[in-house]
Amino acid sequence: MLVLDAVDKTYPNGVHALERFSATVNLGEIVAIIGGSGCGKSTLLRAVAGLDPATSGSVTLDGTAITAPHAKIGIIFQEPRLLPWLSVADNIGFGLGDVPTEVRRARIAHALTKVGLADKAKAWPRELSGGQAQRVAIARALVPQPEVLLLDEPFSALDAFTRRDLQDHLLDLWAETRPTLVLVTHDVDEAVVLADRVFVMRPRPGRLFDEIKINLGRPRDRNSPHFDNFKRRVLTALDRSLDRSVRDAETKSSTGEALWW
Amino acid sequence: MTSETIATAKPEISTNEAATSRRPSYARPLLGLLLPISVALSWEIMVRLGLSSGRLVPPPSKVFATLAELAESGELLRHITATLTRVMTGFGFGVIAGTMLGAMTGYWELARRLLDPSVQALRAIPSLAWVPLFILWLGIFETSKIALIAIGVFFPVYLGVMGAILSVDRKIVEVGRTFRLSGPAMIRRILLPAVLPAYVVALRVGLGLGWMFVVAAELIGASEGLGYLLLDGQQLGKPAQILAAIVIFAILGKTTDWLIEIVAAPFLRWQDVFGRKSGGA
Repeated sequence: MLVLDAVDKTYPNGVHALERFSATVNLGEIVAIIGGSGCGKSTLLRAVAGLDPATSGSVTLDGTAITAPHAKIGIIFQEPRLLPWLSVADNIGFGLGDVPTEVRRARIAHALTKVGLADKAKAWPRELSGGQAQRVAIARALVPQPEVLLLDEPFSALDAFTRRDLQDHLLDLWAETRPTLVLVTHDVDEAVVLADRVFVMRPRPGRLFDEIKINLGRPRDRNSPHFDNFKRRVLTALDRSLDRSVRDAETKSSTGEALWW
Repeated sequence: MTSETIATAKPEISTNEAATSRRPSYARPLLGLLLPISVALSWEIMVRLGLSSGRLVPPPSKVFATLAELAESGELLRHITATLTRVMTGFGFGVIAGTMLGAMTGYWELARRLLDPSVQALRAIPSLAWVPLFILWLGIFETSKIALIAIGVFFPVYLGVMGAILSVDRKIVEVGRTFRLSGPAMIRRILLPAVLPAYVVALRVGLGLGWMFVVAAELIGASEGLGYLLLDGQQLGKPAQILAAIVIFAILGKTTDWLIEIVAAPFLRWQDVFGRKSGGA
């Protein structure tokens, strides 16, 4: 279980990026964090990853405080960030430092098949398309079998078609070991298609505005009326989060029908 | 007339270099030879036809005759060995010092603040200005020459290594952090491969300066070496000998540069750069 307790982040230049963010995410749950630009969603993710620890408040995973990168937490960035001097297979195995060679080889081969790039094992990263490179990055993050996988706008640089494909792909991969996924996105479709819960944040300083439960079974049909309904709720919450005349909700509404004052 | 000779000898080096850096070195060396050979041939023909006396700018045949003569007497080998030993020793010292200091100042901010300003100030001194001091300190024999060459090699290597480490992509370093690499592992698995391309360039620049400074060192005072051949040719009025030494410099400089390229090539196959031929790997 991942617990965020009053996570607060002020950068050295005085920017208050995140204000007392609290949430609890259960094992195997998929959570999407959505919000306008500058609402601190990436800051939050980096705090959970242990890359930029919070100024105050705490992030704990199964009772362990996270202040530095942790073995059980993996992260996928907006860019693939593959190491250009390693082959695709070696990139995927990068996080398997102390694993015996045969086990390592088997796990890399398995991951390559799962992301559909078995024929690219020996290729250099420069020979991959954007979508393929991001799939390698996903495989690299999943191969050490993290308990929590953080995704920082992982598909935002891809075209719409590739993005859909990768979203479905990610769910397939998730189903295998069912880690907790925390996904930062600015794409409402993406949030609704993937997440069990959507956190809507509002900017300056970044804080939690609303939480919306997506009670839809998987696989989700992007064209169903239910899907549209949830999408509209998220959009409404998002619009209101950017409207300065709307004050912060005191109590979180699980239906997304936020309170009018 | 003499300056013209040097002018025609120089471009042949640079065209060769340009050709090899753009494509894998061994791919088409013949194309690179086209220009120097045609220049040499046309000069030979001009002299043979009597259009020029060829006294100050001797034709290739005469240069080769001089080379053959020097080679036969064993003189050539002695001079080449002397020069090559000096360059390689100076290069070795310069590279070791430049790499260590550059890595330190690149990786460790305190060291950079502490040392880099002084190193940069020293760099601003024209290296030849050290010569009188080196001769006073280290004598007129090998040590002062090697020190001068090492200084010439040191600065480009130092700058190259420090700059390369400073410009390693933060995003890639972050990947290393998320996989919790220790300090040494971060250096071995992320920083070293990331700086390698720039390091190879720094080594090549350093080697080029090493060749430049060996001539300076040998012109100042030496009894053997290719620089001595140059000086001897000037003093005794033997332009063919000067040109022979220049040709040997070109061949040696090009060959050693090429060796660095060949050794580095297998480690740099991953590069995604403009200069690479498509369909590689």
